[in-house]
Amino acid sequence: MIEKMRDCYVIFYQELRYIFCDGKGKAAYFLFGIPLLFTLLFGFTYSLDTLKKMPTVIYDQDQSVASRSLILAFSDSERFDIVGVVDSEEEMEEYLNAEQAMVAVSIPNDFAKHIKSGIGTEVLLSVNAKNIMYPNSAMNFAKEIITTHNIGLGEKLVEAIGQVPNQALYTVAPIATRVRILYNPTDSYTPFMLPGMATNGLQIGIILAICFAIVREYKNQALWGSYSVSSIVAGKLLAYWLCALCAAVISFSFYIEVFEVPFRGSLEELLLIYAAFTFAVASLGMLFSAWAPNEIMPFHPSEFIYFMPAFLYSGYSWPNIAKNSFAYFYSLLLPMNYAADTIRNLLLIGYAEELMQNVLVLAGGGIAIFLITVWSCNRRLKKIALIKVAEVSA
Amino acid sequence: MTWWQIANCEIRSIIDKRPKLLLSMFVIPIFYLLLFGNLFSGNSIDHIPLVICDESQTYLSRQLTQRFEDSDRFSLVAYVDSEEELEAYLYNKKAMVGIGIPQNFNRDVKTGVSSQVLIDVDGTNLMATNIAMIAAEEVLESFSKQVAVKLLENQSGVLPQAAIHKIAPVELKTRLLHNPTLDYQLFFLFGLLMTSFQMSLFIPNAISMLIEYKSGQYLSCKPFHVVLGKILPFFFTGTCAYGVLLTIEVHVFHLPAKGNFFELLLLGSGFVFAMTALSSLIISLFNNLLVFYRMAIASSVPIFILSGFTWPLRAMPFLIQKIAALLPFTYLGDNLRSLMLAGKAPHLYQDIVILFTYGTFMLGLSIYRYKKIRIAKQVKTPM
Repeated sequence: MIEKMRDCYVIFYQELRYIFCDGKGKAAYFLFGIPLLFTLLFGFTYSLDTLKKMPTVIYDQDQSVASRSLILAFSDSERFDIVGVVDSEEEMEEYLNAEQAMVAVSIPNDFAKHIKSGIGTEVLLSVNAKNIMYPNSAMNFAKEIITTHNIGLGEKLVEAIGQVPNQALYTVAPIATRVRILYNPTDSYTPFMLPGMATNGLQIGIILAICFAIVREYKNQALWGSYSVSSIVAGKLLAYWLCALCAAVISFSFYIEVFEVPFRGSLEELLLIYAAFTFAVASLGMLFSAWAPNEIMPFHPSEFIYFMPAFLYSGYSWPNIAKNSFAYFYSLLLPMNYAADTIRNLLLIGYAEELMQNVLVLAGGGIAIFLITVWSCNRRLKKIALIKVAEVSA
Repeated sequence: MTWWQIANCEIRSIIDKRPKLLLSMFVIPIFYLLLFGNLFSGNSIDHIPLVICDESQTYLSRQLTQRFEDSDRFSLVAYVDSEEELEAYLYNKKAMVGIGIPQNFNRDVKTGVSSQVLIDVDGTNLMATNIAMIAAEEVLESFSKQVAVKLLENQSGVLPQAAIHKIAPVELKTRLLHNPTLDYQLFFLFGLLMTSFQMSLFIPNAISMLIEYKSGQYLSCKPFHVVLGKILPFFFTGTCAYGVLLTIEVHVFHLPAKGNFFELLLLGSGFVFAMTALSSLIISLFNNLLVFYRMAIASSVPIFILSGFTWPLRAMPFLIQKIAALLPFTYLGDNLRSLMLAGKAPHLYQDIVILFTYGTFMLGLSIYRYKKIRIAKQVKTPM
């Protein structure tokens, strides 16, 4: 046992040197560079945080005091930026078609008259819904503006039929709503997206860095002769795991300190989930490397199946409740599924009920993948030996 | 040999020896398409877990909770007795939305004091938060209106039809253009398909160029003819693959295809041309396939995000916008979605011209690089 641990240490040390000094296109660049690059790039990309100043065109057919006061409410809101005021529906459509405006507010003829006479009127909000970010935001804020506007107008109308002002307000809006957006009160994009993107960068970095770990050694008979397969795989895994954990710390320090993602949980818990995640991903990277065809092509085709869906399938943005059963079961195979949401919960809520369960799944999965890697290496080595024997006898 | 003869020769040799290079342009994106199409098959987020704390326990409050229970958007997880319990449900992620009805709800509403209903929404997943918030507010607003109409009827004897116009004199009608149901497949799928297509387009052309760099098969031909002849098979196959993939996507997932066929083709061929020329240039700079694979894998997510396909370009800082302008995908993604959903894209022709100019510039640079590398080789190993 002690001998095995010593072997493991030797391999660990050799691999660390490879990561930082020897490798073709040094593994350290990928291991540390990609997570950092993802954090910085997306941190800047989302730095404006919310969708403000949506370009808006106004088509006011009424041109009355009432309509202008509504327009004023839109122009006062920082969410809408009035880019044009037009006189015809055609012009309004032109603005929308040319995407000079993403939102159009159309106020009908007789707007003021219908309000006063109690017939009621309607305002048409047109939103270019091609990119879902716009309608989500525009509908929310336009509704808020109209509701506030209505309460003011309604109060006056009800007063006019003989109710006292205070009572009139309650009659118009008997149920007020108080909306609290917990854990992300400003509805910001950075705390929602950045931790996941950075974690995705971390997993891409790990797998790209680790791709040579095993496949480059298959020809090195001396190595396999001197140490046991499990010591070799464990030593290498340990080296990559530790480096990946450091890369994770750098990455989350950046998104918390520089991009001000709130951090309400404990550092130990955050480190724990990152440790489990990096272990599982590093172990998976080792398996891919053990399966890789050769040094010229150190990627197994299955990696391409893994990479792209790994983030979207994880439930980080598209929640589990919206998945069908295939998507749900497929996502169970992805380490990201057990880490991304938990990390965001620790950051924003400060607590993740599923933490220990996910840590155990990731650790257990990592160990299982490690065993499969050892088995795959043994098989591959036997195959190589058989080919050699055949060559010699030929 | 001229570029045309080289292209002919290349096509034959690829089909004979390396058909995978061309097949991968079709097979890999189809695989991704099926995966992503399946993920978003639910179209929108329904059955959002909801918890209700009804401290009032009256006929009126039960009418309100019934509305939430009847809504498709929500799926009731539990009734709780206190606000603390409600918060615990959200804290433990057992529910995403919590509705708190106060104790004096019924009395306050009936006596005209107004009552406040609490909507707690879990803000961690913004996608679900927005949908949940809009849906919860809609339910409450329509309930509030119904109650207000009754109040006004009782207090002032106004008829229901007239009362509604006094309570909500201005009604907001929403018209969502091009994606009225806010369907996620319509929003996402074209871009995701094109991201995987981009990746499978980038690599085969580079492999083919690398083979030329290593073997020097066309050393006797002019550099312009060699590079163009090498790119052409991938340009044509890539354009075909683009058409086939879009056709499959539209038919399998029942997506709209409102755009003009020629405009779609022109946009696609501009993109394929820009990408193949770019990959010829990059492989000449690195001369190493491994770097290429790594680049393709590492860059697909940033390219997709920077293109403005999800988070709009105009909401990005200036510098990031300029980086995005250097990526061909930025000119494809949004335009393609506009063409498919709306039938028109406002900057289409401008962006097509940019793509072809970009491609021509990259082609010029890759010919220059090819010439330089060939001369260096010839100096090293004189014929």
